[in-house]
Amino acid sequence: MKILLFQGLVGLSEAMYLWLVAAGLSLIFGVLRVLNFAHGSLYMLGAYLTFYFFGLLGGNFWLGLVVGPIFVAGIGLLMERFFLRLVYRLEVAYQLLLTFAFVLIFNDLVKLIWGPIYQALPMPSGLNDSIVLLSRAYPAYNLFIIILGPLIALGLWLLLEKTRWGRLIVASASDKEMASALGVNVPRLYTRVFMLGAWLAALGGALSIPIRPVSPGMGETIIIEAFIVAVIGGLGSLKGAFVGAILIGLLHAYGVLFLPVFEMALAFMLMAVVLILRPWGLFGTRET
Amino acid sequence: MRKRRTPVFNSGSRQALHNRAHLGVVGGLNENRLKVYKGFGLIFLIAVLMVLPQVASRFYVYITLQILMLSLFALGFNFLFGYVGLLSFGHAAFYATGAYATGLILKNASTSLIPGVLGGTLIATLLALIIGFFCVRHTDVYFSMLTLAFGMMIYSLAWKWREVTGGDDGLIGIPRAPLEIPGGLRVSMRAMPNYYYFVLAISVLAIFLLYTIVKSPFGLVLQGIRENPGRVEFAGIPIKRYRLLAFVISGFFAGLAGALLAPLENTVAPAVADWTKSSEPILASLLGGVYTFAGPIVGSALFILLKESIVRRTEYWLLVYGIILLAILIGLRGGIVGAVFQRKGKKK
Amino acid sequence: MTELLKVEALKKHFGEIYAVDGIDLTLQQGGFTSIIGPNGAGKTTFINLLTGRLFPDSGKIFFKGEDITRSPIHRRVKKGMGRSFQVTNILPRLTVFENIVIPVLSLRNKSLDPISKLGRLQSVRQSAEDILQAIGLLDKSALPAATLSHGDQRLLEIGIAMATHPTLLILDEPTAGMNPLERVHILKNIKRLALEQRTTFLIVEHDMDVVFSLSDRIIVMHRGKVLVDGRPEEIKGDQKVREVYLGEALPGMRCHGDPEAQGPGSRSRVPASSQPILEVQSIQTFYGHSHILQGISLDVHRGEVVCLLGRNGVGKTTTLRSIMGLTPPRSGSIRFQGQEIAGRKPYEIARLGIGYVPDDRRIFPELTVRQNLEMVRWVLPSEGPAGSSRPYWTLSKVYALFPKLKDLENQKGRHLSGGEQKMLAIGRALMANPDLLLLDEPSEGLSPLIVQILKEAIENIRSEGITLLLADQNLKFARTVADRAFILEKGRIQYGGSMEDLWKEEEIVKKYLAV
Repeated sequence: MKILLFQGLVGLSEAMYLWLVAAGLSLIFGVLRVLNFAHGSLYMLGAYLTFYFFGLLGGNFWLGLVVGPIFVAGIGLLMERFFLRLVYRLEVAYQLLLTFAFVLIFNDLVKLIWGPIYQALPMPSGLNDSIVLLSRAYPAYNLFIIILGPLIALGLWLLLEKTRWGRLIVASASDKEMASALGVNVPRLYTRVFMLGAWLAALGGALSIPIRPVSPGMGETIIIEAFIVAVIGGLGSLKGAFVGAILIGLLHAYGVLFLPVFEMALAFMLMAVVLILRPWGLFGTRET
Repeated sequence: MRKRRTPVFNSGSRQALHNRAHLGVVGGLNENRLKVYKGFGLIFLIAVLMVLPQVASRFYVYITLQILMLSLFALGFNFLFGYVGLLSFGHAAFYATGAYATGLILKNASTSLIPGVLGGTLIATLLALIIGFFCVRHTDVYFSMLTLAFGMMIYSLAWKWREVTGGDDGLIGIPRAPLEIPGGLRVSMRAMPNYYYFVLAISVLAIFLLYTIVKSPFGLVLQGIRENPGRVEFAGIPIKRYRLLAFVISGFFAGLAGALLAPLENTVAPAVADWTKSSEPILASLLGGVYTFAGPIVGSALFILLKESIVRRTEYWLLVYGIILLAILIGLRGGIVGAVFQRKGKKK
Repeated sequence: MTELLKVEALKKHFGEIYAVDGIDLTLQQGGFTSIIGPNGAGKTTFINLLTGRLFPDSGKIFFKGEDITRSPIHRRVKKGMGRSFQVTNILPRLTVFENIVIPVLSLRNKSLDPISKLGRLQSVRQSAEDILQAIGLLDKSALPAATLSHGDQRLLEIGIAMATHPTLLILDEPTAGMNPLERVHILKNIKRLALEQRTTFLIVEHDMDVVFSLSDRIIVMHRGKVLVDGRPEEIKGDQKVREVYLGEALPGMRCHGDPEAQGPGSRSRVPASSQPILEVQSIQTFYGHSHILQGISLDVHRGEVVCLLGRNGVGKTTTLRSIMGLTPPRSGSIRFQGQEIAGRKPYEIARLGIGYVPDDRRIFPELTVRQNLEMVRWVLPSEGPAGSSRPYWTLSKVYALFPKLKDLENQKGRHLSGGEQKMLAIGRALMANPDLLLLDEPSEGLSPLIVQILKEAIENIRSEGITLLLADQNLKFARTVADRAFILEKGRIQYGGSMEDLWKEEEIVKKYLAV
């Protein structure tokens, strides 16, 4: 029993990284109606740049955590403003290919600048102890992540429900034409939403540094998982992304315990089931 | 090798006129002359290819082999993308399956080349049937992401299933089995030129087969499905079934390309299932032109040659290709391409 | 004669709205039947149910004796149903010839053939050429379909539908967006096709000339039901039909002929200033290839209430959208308070002082009533540019206009009824402090009570100094609020003048507004 609970905690902390990336992906899709294939690369860039700033700023992880994702948001600005914006009116395949080009570029760029080998970081001081939970040693950092994740979710919820800008985002997502006719500068709003999504992904990447090695391949796996999470939760729904991330996180954690061979296929099969029974996801809206 | 720069995404009126004129009522001298030129060009090309091992070094033969295999791979991919409108990011799954399956057959089951290659291709095709069944029920974004996910699953399988695939060591020691023709003839494939002729023959046959399919009624209906699935459905066609068929055919060609790889390299490593491998037919097709039949072939030649020259200077060829792709997409989004890729405007 | 099509008690609802509310219909083989009806009558839904794009909630459809209520689309097609679409649905990158060949292949069950050379299939070629001959596009066979003119594309659209040799051919607004020449051309061809192919035609149309010149039977739909069904002569004189198109007499509104019945003409009218606040000159607006506005010119003076009239599909909404920048005109000029606004972004136009209320309301469903109203304030400056005559709207002022909204203040938009949403949409547009308010079909789909509230609201808005440009089908409603009117048809202004004058012109009213 304790093992189960413990494994559950492991799953939850993993879920939070997934949540951050999936939230950005879902947000961008919900508002801009574009699937940002390069979202995994933004996650990767978040990790690398935080790592870089961490080194630059004298080993302060927290400072790097602040600066890194903001920098990636800036990259997101460039991506959207000068490239993505040009192709909104075109076919979906076009947009996918465009963001795919960025995947190729970012991937090699990272290898070019930082080299192809894995990087690893020590835990930030203050969190590098383990806490004894359920008579096992549980890393304090993971606990930190489990607390941080829902906080950010709360923050996003507050942003969208309670702030003006958030309400404008919701309005523009449901009817961008009408929003435009009422004075909303929709193109500018789109850019900012994209930046927010990029920031979220980058934050996920940055937070993952102490736990996982930073490598150029980290973008590919996370984009698939984030997509699975977003689909299960409903593309465009942040609540759905949160729930979906927890589901998948737990699925992985328990899958590793009980069915290690099939572990990766499990998430996949869940998505397949959702797509068959309820294609718009758990919390999505039925859009014909 | 033809190095003419076929414009990308060219489906423009000119090309359509030339390619389709023989169907229509508008005939004329021009069209016949073009066919003659095309015919001569093709014969010339095949002659060059046949003479190649006698006149060029081993290196160029090897390059040409790579171009042939990538051409098959890209033709398979583009059958799905250019003709049916489905963008697959995971086609390396079939390529890799063809390679691994052929490798396993040649190592364990057969001492003859053709059963190995054929077997590998068929297994890859079977996989395409299974994966396709799940994927064609969706379109656009969902389809593309599903193919990516399946591609990664196969990659993961190649890594983890050590007993069968050898894990990250890969499958080694694959014999380049001799070609056995019923009637008793046994031709060794050890020498590169011999294997080259084998691959050339298979490629020409396969390309001819695909060409026939593309120019057939089925091929035309598929293009109709790409253009406007709703309309074609209203003409009485069950579009999901047709898409699945196209997917299977597409997987066949990708699998064939992989199957031909295994005996050549004598090893198969998990990298053949990687997403970067999946990107190769995409880039090749876009380079050469997705709306013409020969586009992927020309693009493959460009891709391989370009990659060779890039790799000499830098290992970051993906970066270069990413920039090229970006340039192509941004540069051509207006004009013909814009009109070609435009979303349909709705009235109400 | 066997019944070709039989519909029994067909019903389909979306949410609380019954788009199709109990239709019984029988169609015999042969002839031309048209379905007409004002906006929201349910014509398109009905067609979608017949062709299989939608399944009904209840009722049955029999085609050639067989129950096809839930058959998939391709099976209905194989049985002999064909359809063309209102929005051109051709295969753009393929040639005209290929567009026709595909349905022919399907008909001949040759579509799975992976071997034959297309050029060699003689009988298929012949069939396709026959159809191309019939629709008059044979000489354009080798052209990519996307390069055709709009009229030719519509013809091709019909050709594709005909290529499966349907027994019943359903045409959805075949002349949509066509110029007069194209219209004549397509009519000729449809008539000829009907004779040659012995196909039964079922047409949905708004263009009354087309309807009356082609049909031997007309079905008038209204609010999801069949209102009247008969021969063209019967329909023309029918009082019910007239009412449906011109608008029902509303309580509190005086009838025509009543000496006390007046529009705002009798009240103190705000004198129209000499300089128009809005000048539209010869704008041409397209949806893709569809030429909706073929040279619209009109003017609106400060303080006026002007109404665009015309049947549905003529371009009233498109005109308003063109002014607002949502569907910018391809040529022509639109000047607002002296400034050229054609081609500007909608949010820029909103900031210059034009407000827009669409016919389908489009309030933000996830925002509360209050947020819907306030959001405008978050993005637009509260004061107009110096010297602007804009009145200053606040929440309380809007609530004074529409008291019901105050009660619903914290409800999310999607919980509001249609009428409440309409009020909210108007209030929202007002919060931008516009000088000119564009109102699309304000009276549509509303109960008489709410229409009355609306009428008073319009008066109030007007007395605040805001100019109004309305678009409406309902002549009677327009008469009680508007000073002047422009009638649109076939993409052009056919009449412009004072509301009083128009009311007296029986012939014009009958020709352009009724049936």
